Amino acid sequence: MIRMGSLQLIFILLISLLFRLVVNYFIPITQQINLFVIFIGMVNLILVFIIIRRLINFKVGLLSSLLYAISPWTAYLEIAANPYIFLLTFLLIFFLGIQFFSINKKIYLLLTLLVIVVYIDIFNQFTVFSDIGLLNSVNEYRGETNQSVFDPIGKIIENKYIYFSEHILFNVLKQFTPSTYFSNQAHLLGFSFSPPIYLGFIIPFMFGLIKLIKFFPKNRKYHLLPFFFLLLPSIFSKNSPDLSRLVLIAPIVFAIVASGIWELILNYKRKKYAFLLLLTIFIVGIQFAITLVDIAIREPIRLQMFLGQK
Amino acid sequence: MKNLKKGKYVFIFLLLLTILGGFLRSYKNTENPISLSIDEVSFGYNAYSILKTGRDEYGKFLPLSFKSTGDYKNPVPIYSMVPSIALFGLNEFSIRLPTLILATLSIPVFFLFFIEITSSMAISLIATSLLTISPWHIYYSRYVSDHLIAMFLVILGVICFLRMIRKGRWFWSVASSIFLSLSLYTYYAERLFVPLLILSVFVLNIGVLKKQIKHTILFTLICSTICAPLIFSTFFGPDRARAQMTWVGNDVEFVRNVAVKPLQNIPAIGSENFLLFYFVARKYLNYFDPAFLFYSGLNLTKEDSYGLGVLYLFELPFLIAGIIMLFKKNIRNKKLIITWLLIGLIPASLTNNEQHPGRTFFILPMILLISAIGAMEFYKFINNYFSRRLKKIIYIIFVSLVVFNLTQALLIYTVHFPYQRGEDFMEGTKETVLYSLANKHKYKEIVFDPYRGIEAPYIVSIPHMYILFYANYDPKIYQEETKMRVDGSFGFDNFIIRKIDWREDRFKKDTLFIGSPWSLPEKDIKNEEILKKIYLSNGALAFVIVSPN
Repeated sequence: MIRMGSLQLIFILLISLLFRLVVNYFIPITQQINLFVIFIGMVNLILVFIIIRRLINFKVGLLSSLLYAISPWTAYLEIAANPYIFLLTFLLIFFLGIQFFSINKKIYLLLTLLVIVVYIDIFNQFTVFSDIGLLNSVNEYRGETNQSVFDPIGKIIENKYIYFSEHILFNVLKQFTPSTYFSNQAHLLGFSFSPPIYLGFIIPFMFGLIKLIKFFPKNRKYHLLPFFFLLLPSIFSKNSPDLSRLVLIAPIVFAIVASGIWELILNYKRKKYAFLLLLTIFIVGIQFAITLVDIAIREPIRLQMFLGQK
Repeated sequence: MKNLKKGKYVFIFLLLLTILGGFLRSYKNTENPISLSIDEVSFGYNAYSILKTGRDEYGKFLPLSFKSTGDYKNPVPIYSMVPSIALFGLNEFSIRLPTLILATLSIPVFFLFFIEITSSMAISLIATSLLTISPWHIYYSRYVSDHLIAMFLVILGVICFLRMIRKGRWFWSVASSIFLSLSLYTYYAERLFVPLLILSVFVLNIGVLKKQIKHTILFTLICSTICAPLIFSTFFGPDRARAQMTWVGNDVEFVRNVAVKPLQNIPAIGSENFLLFYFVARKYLNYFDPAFLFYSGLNLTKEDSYGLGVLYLFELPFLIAGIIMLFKKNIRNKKLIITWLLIGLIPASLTNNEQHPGRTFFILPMILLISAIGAMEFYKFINNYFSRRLKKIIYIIFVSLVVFNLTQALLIYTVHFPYQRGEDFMEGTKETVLYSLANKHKYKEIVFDPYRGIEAPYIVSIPHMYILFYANYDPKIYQEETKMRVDGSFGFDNFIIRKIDWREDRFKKDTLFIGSPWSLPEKDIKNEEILKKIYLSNGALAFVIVSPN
């Protein structure tokens, strides 16, 4: 059983490697292939498998690592040597260490938050408070209200503090837009039209999410807090939601999708579940093939267009 | 006795809501939106033409599809304007009146609809209250809105349909088929939404409908009879042109970035048809974007600025609680609510605009209903889980948020909307037309440039329709006049609509030129030749009226 599991994991690792090599071959994001980052990506994949296996079960762990392997989201960021891939590795190792050594939960939360804050500060990415566009927009509003009978109300309602608060609130909400994850709405690395997660996975995602809400163990509620910490880099990004930064929550999304798939597999004998499982496989299968063709034909052109615009 | 008293209070509350809703929808509605849009003048003049001659601007007798500016407008909004134009003449008030009346009547009608769906008085009253102040509904109530008229008819149709299922009388069967069929003649999105909705309701109520087989057959027969011309027109007639125009496959983003046209030798699996499916799915999912829902969905302000969403921010906790309750609890007609919401986004996802609040307008009743269900739960939760002091604090915070949201909406609608979106409503065109009409006798020719725009002359306006509208130009004369000139320009009476080329036109005497500063650059024109300048509310120069000496 263990040997079989290891073989399956090795097979997934090979798929992952192959997918990344294909992406790198057709889309010259960087001058030369960065094998170190691809290696880091494979470490991430193994960590995702181990953590989810410990938290849920072996099959869901395996499915999550498969999702990690074939997802354009992680593949593109690894090829581009995005710094958040390294942060993800660090956090996964950190999380695993916590599980192994049973470190105090409060210390764990504090350290996670500290690491994320330091990381985004190092990369000078707290852009939300210096958003010139937002400031201009507030000033424009004030100027317009100034000339109307509503000037006194405008002074209270339209000030930069209120708008910055609203801005942050909306940025938080934006992280939960389904089109960000299951379609090419937010372009990966600014140019790509490959979906971060294949559309068909939205079906098991819904199942996984409902299951998570219904059966989330109360004694593990502290696991939810780091999830919000992981959103912070994207929330404070100027182009929120930012897929490069949101990759920190990718393993969580993969785990939810994987547990949804597992739920569908378990209930396969019921017609509705069988239909949804087949539908998921059909939509994902087709989109995977389309994405591969797209990577070979259209993505290089899109990259050139993007670089040209820059 | 107790029920009678309760009913009286409900009636009074509903009446107050209707009065408040009517006020919010009618107050200065001829001044804000700041000007008549292209669609409004087209609707208005065609209705005037029908009133005077029984024919549209092209001379077609009582058409079921109005060619108008080539976008083939639906007939119901136009025919519904005829009585008000007959009573009050052709002006802003008369053409906006039918929408206003139906919008105000929507408040009690929606209440009946909510009762029919949920059979809960409390939820229905909350949902109706939310409708009364809904920014989405108010916005579409204040100008000629085929979306709103269509939704009104759909709601009436569904009320009658549900009653047909419940009570099984001929009247409900006939009424529902008429209302639902008419909605198809009102707005294009309904042509997809209504059949899908009816199909879903049929599937959801198949057991009951089998018992009501006679009424179901009658319903189907009437619908088929009324819709036969429309089906023909959609698939084989002129309406097909409209469908092709708005088809998602022509979306600029899709053509340019997704399909990366023109590309050759693409394997079948990578063809653009496959990509289109996923692009439609993306558009569909994008309607769940909080930006659309809560801060810019109505497009009342500049892109990327904090405007007004289709919902208020204070509705957010209600909506979330409502969605959770919808999945958790056994709510009456739950499947219909979810199905309505999900199929309501399909028509908009198949067209080529990004997040169109008009094309998704018919999901509004279900969003209000879910919010109302959530509001009830929210209230129960606060009452059950918090101490009296905490409750007070929560209510104070919540009421402050409501007041803040409503004030923000007021500022956006009354101050920023006219400033930032005046150009979209063709602000300034009325002034140019009134000036030209007042001075018409002084000139041999009056030339209007149809291209305008502050940043660039990229907006193609239809000044001839504004002239016809504000001049109350005799439709009979207009229909019979030869409008295409020898030089390829378009004109009637002494008005000519063509692009102005100042390098050549500057030598034309006895001619009045009206155009944007792009076609009439001030630096090239002598001061005494400029007769008038027309500015937008935001101070930008929109038009220059010039006559060469």
